Amino acid sequence: MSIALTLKGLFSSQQTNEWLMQKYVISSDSDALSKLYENCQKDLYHFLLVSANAELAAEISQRTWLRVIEKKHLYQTDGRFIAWLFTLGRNQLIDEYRRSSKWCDADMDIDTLVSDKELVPESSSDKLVSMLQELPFAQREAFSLQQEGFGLQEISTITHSPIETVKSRLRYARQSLRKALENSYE
Amino acid sequence: MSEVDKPLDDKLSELYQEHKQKTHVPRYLKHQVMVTAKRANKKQTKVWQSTTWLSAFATIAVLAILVNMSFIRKGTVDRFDELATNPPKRAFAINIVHRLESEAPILTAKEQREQKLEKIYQDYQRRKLAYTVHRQETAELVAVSDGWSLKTCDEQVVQISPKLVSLFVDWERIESDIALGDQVDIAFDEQGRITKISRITELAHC
Repeated sequence: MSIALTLKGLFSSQQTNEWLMQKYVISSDSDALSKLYENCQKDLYHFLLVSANAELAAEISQRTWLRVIEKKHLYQTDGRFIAWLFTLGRNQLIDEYRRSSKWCDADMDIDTLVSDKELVPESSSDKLVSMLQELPFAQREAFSLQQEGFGLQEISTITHSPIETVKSRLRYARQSLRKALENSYE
Repeated sequence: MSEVDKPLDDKLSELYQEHKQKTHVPRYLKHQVMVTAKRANKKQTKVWQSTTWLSAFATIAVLAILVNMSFIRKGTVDRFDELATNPPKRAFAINIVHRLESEAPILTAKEQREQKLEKIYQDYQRRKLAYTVHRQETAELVAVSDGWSLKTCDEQVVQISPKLVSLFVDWERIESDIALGDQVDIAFDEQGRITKISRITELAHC
């Protein structure tokens, strides 16, 4: 596998995230991890920042990368690395919500989770962030994941939800955001 | 997504990317992640090295055992081969012979006589060690008709029966070329028994 990976890297003009992750899994190469971090950290951090404040987003993103280091042997090569990274990040965020008093009932449906003023950015004057604050957590994360470039199947995998549910969340999220955007123009 | 909604959706995407562009990831996060990664790598290397050494030691031990077993087996096979091709030339002493009475060889009358003679001879051989020469006397062979008659220097006649002469001849106790009138030496043992008669070539000295 190592030889095949090396040959693939030699003949490939661009080192993909999947190639870098495989290299890191095999050789624990710090450079490979560093490049992965550079390629993916901003996407992850921004995704988390949409659902949490800056401090928590930083904390969760750090925990997520530590999970990547710890659980690298569990990485499956059949999917995109960034989808696996977002899955780990999203799980960490949900765990944090469950640990805190923000989400007391562990069995509570994620669709019922509403934005908390303490979890979302407080000082942001960004128009979109203000609109996202008004959305339920599930719709907000579905919209955010779509904006990060994930397809329906990937969003379904990351959020552990059926595709139809994902479609539904995205539809409601867009309706709400359009309405909010129209209102902001008036 | 309808055509009416498309401008709004495009605007939403634009706002999202705009917000993302303005976001800056804290630099300290990477430092902490990389430090943790290096620490984990070092720990893993130590574990790997320990495992490697342990595996190497176990492999050597197993190989040593296998080689040893192979040598033992080869040695055993070689020994069997050697025994098969070159059986040991060691003679085993038979201490006791078990034999049925019927298995005893049946001897003819001639064989029985020979056996008896052989037994007598062996008895004589056992005793002859005691027949050491004790004294010698010079004599002259004076008669050979009925055994030998030997006349000693002190005028005594020693008569030797024909059977004893015959035995002495057989046992080479009498020189074969002794003729009538020859001077001889008669050797006696401690008991006074004749042990040997030999011819004297010099002139008689009685």
